[in-house]
Amino acid sequence: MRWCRWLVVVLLVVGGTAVFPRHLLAHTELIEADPAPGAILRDAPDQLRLLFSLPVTDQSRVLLLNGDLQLVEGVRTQVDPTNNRQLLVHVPELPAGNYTVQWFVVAADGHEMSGSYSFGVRSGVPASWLVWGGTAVLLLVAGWGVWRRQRPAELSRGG
Amino acid sequence: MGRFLWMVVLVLVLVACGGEREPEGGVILAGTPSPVQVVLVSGDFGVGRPRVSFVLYEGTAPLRDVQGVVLTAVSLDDPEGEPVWSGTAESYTDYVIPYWVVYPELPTPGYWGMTAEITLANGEKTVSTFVVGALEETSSPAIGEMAPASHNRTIHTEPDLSKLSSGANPDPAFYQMTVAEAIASGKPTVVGILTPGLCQTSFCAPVLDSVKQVRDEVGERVNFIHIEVYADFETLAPVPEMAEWGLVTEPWVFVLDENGRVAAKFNGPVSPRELMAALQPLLAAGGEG
Repeated sequence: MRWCRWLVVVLLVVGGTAVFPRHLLAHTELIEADPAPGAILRDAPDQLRLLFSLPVTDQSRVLLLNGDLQLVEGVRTQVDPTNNRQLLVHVPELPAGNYTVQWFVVAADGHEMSGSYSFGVRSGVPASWLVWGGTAVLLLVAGWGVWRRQRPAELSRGG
Repeated sequence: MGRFLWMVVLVLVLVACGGEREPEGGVILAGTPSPVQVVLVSGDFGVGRPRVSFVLYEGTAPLRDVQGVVLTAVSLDDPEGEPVWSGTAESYTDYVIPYWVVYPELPTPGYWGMTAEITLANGEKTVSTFVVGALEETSSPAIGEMAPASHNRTIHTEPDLSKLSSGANPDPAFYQMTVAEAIASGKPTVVGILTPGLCQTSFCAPVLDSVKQVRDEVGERVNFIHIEVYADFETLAPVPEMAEWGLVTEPWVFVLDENGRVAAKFNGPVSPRELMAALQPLLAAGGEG
């Protein structure tokens, strides 16, 4: 947890000492994310992908908060080596719950932006599967019972 | 035997149908994640009651018909996560992008988790969270501090208006006096430090339009000054006032009282209504409101 806080400190310091933009000023925007805002995933992702409208620098970072607003440890951010408008965020194994992705980006022109969105993970056996699976087992047992009861009669008729 | 086989097929179908219900279930989760994104459009937050402004997005489109936003602040350093503040955000729709402003009480420096309960147009509620980092001291002049008595360029020192503003049609009225002269005038002053022509997005480009609109409303009762961010549009070297005012980004609009103290400051979008609301107490104090 501590290193995450240091990460935020670094971000704030970077924000406070950034060289002023040398190009046209534009605020970069998040135009695509995977998982998408509001998504509910059956399997926890091991990587997040955030695509911005402008190139971003390696000063950009992403923090992940769990549903109790606690920072998730072990999150690593890098600019996609094949697309400098995209951040790749490696995340640890995430238990079921809701998560907030808080992004801080420093665009190539030095402009900073930040924002957040949420997604959910429901790992393990989904509750709906438990309900339907339980129903299935009951029906199988009932079916087995009916079949066992009818089988002697069929055998006796056949004999 | 045939009936049993039929049962097995029925069971398999039921199980398969159960799997298809997956995405909307949300049974395990305490609440579903919000589809609403929060984008912060201001910065340089200090302890106390900083102005935090944000835009709500769904996808890439700003949400324009949100009914209300109630926020709660929790210190990320507090393992118990006890809320220390809660309040309602103010909506400003008289700007190109509708934005929200809140003044949370953040008593200590550090990282604050903000939980926003958003009431959508249809009355449904959704909850989004974001983080605000509060600094012990802001780099820009704090509320109540004396503003730097800048000797910024004016039309009297640089007659070529195209060098005083990156805007398409600079208004000479914004380049008549220095901040030092404005402070000495004994009138409230609005200082906009921004680059209207070189900022490409609606987060910053229309801010000078808001300042113009307020100037048209209050007239000579208030001094209005625009300081262009860049001293030279070829080299893009910033004007010395950027460092003098401790600014690392733009746009900024400062409202100074008649003594030159900072009465209000706005980073990012500011609408005419929000700017006017900051000026009203100063105009009233001067007996001209």
